[in-house]
Amino acid sequence: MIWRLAVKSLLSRRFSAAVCIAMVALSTLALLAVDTLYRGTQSAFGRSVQGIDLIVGAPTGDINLLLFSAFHVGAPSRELSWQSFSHWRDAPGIARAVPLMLGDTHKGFRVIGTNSALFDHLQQSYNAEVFTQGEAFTHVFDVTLGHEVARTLGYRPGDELILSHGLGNHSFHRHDARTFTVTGVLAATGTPIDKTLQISVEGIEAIHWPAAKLASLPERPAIGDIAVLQPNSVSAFYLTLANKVRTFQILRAINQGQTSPSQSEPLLAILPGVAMTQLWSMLDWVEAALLGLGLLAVALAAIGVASALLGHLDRRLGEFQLLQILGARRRFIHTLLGLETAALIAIGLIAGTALTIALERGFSHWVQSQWGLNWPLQINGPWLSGALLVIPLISGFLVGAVGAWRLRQQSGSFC
Amino acid sequence: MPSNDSINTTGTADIPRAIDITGLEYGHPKGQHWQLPRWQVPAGQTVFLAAPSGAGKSTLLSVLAGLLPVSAGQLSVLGEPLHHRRAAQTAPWRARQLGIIFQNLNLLDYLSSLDNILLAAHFAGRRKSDTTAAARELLARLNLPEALVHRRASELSLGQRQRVAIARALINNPPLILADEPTSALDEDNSRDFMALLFALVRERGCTLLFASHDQRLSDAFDQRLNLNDVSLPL
Repeated sequence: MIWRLAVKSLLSRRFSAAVCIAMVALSTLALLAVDTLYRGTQSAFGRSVQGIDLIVGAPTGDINLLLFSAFHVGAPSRELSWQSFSHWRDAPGIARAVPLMLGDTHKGFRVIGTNSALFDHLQQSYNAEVFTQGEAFTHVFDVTLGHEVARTLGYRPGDELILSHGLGNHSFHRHDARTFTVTGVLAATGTPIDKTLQISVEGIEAIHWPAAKLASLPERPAIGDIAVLQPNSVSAFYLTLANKVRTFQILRAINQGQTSPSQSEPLLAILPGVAMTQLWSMLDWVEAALLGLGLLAVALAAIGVASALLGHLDRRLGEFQLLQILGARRRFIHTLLGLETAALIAIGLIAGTALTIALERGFSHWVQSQWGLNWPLQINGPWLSGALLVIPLISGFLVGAVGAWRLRQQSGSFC
Repeated sequence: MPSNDSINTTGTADIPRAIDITGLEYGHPKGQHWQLPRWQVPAGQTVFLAAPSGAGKSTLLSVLAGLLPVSAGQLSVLGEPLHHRRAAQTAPWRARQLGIIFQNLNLLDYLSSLDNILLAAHFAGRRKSDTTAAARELLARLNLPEALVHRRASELSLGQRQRVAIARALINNPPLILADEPTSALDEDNSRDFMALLFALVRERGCTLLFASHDQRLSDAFDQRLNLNDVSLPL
């Protein structure tokens, strides 16, 4: 009878019950979304250095090297020699070395001077198609575009563009002696690479030549054809090792200056994962803010639901008094209220979770293709089951207890 | 006028008493204070409890139902010493022994006619399977069409609600029925019909009926008439 009474009572208040359920569902959605956002952000940070065992640059701070090389934030304090890069590229146990030359931009997007090893790195790290349009650069004045650059500026393969000197959004020095031809557009990765343009290191070298010297170059030289275009220095480089066990050995060797017998250039090698952890720990306020937002959403929902339920309670005291007069024990009324509350909360939690899953299923692919954001919804089964059991029970018990207490205050009588 | 004399509404000491009060005092910190020196109601009698509005009829009925605690004295209802009981302890007893009809009939609007009746049976500890047929029979006896048995109380007319309220009060075959101004919201015709139905069933089942009303015209049908002002004393 108590179940029947609870169901019929809820159905008779279906509008306010639906509002309660919606509040709980939306707060559940908000909490899961904030959690997903947090995990996704952390994951996106991690993806930026995925497949890179060491980052090497001129001596500077670990975080600075990580920021300018992996996140393209800030600038290197100085560069390191091409010989040092060549030495470690060709050293035993190195599977891949990706050079990075920074310092130029196009309409506010950073340009990376690199080589085909970057595309191998992207292929290996993300295990997906590297290009959505076109292909990698093969000529000195070819350029490939990150997904976001192509999307924002509307470029397609075959378009031509001019690079600018410097890292600011508005450069006064344009490398307009030569235009670059777009050969490909990278697939979205959800990492900072999406907001960069990539050209060959020879291309970077060439555009910094004097105009007269640059004019002497052929119209469309292939990469590797002109030896004098090999740069003297790079900003940093990524190393991927064939054998991960040697990571610390090579790290130590680089940091101890064992560069080459012919020169002893001081270098800094960092483990990107460790530097990421340091960076993440510096950003712990983000975690706190996200957690705070989630808790705020839950608190607001809890206050809303509590006020709705307690408001109802006031209006239903007469009904409970009637039940009491008819012979209902207080624990019956307590249980009835608890059941109704627990049912509302449980349905809200389930609806919120289902809505979050549906949104994730419906939009994650689109978000991934549009922005490369990979924010997987990670619902912890045992935790969710526990929450579905404990939160409704506690809420039900509390509201039931308040109801029973309010009823006790109003001594039952015929009046 | 108030009197301290003992009042026995039958004048016969041998008949079992439905209500037996001695030196009863009731006091509410913010409300009424009164006492009943002596009052007995023999089982099976119909008693008209008369008093103007605000004189304490509803409070007395609440005390007799074990809903309000007494301050002093002895109160026995159907042999149950209520002066020893707290309100929470009297719930099962109330469900089994009392049939209650309220001033506003007080049905749960979201329940059907049948469920309103079965709810009272549930509180008395009776199983649904045992009481459904009895509830239907009672409703049929009260001339409530079968089609309305499953209709929500909010969709019933006033007259139909009266019948459901009577059926709910009688479903557990209670030896005592307390009725608190059940006709106050009814017009004369409805009131007459209601009284006729109630009396027919009460006589048939041999219940004791305590009927509180300010409408003195109804008192003729009762075995006894008791004016609360004659027996109670304001403290």
